[in-house]
Amino acid sequence: MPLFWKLLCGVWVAGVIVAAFLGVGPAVGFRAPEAARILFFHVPTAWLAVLGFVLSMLHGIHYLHRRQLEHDRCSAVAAELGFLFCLLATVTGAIFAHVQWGAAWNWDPRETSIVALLLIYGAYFALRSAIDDEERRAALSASYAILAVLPMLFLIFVLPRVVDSLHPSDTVQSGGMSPSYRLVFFAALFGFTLLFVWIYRLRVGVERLALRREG
Amino acid sequence: MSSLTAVMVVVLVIWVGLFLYLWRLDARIRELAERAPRAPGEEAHEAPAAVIEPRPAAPER
Amino acid sequence: MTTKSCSSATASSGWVGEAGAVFWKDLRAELRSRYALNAMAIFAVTTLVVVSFSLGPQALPPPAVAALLWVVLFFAAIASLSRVFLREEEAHTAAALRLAAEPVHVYLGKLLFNLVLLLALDVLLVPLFLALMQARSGNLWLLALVLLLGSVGLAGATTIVAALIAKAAARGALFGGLAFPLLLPLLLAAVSGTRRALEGASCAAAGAELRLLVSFAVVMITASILLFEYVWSE
Repeated sequence: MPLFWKLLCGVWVAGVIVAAFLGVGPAVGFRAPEAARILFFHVPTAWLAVLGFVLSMLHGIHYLHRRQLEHDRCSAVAAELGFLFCLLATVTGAIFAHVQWGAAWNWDPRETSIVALLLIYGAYFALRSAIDDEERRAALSASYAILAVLPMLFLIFVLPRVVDSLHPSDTVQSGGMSPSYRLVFFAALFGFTLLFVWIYRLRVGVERLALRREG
Repeated sequence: MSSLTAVMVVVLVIWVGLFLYLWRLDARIRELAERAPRAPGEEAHEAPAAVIEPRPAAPER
Repeated sequence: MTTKSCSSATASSGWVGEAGAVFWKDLRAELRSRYALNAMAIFAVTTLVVVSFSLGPQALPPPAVAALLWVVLFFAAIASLSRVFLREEEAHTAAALRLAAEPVHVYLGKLLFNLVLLLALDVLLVPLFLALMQARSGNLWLLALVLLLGSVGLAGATTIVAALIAKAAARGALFGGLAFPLLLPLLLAAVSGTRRALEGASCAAAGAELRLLVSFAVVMITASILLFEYVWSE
């Protein structure tokens, strides 16, 4: 990644951290108004978990078309990063759920889907480690990554309509946030996405080196 | 110093540590990439694959 | 090739014929050994007895009965449905099957076979389960509908996963791990639908669950048909 973006990422995320704690006042309408600041970190991690998942699927499709091992490695790297952020989202979510709703786990639709995502990532890595042949591993894990998108679509889009959710999914769209919160919120999304891209490209660089050494 | 600021300082310190770690990793990976041998496909452009040489003249009998 | 089914299947050579031929082949092999059916039945009955035995003589409320029923069904399916592709690998007949039939037809044949197995399991297990759990019979039509649609979705997802893991190491443990995240929406809808059926709700009241089950089955089977070629040719 060019120097400018790396520096921007460092300064931007530092700025988001300062703004999240000092730039905005306590949130209104929460049981623990100060603790609501965790949302500036929780929501981006959840978004990156999904981003990693989608990236992994797209590289999987690419691999099945082109049959280049580099795409398979990209798919695995995206899944690794997605898994990391998925764990972070689960932990931060459980902490905040404990503070806000009284219990760390409620099987709310969003919580169900993050658990499904964790399990999918786990199954993906288990599948990868169980196949020795490199090209077969690439094709089969790509197929699984594509297949696993379907239940996620059900869990994210269909299930919340059938079961009531505790998560305020409309707050962001309908302007329930005050302008200063909204600003920090989207800045956090942008900053963490930059961080994701940086780490992703580093890992892909390492994988390229490994492929070169092997091939 | 209020507890809010204290938490912020802790988070900032973690971020600076993570950032420096990534920065060093980035530099090291780039260095490795420059030093690593090129892939066979990339080498092909540096040296011609085939050289045309005139056939040595048949020795006089 | 003495049976009529095979000759008629090769004669009509359409996709129905070829998928049907794959299905008949598996069914006849199964009826000869009854490997999968026996394993599945003994597994399901054992699980059922374990559950019932550990609960003792108490009657559970419908939500708990519905959840337990699907837990038993899920594990019985996991224990036996991966056989369809494993058998081909173990007998080294996969290559011949690859040459003999189109990938899609292989998938459809295997799917049909797994579905028949699963429905046989439903017929065997569910009455026994309801009797042992002392569940008051609710809306039996709705229960049958939920079981049928749930089985179609379950068979659709497990068949493609069975194809995925046919060549992996440690398949037994992997199969459940890979299948469960895919089946999460199905299990949620099926448990909820079964609960409503046991409570005696009408079919209209369980409309959301039924729609979810139908769409899950359609989406899973369609995606499997599209992906199977890549999985099978590996």
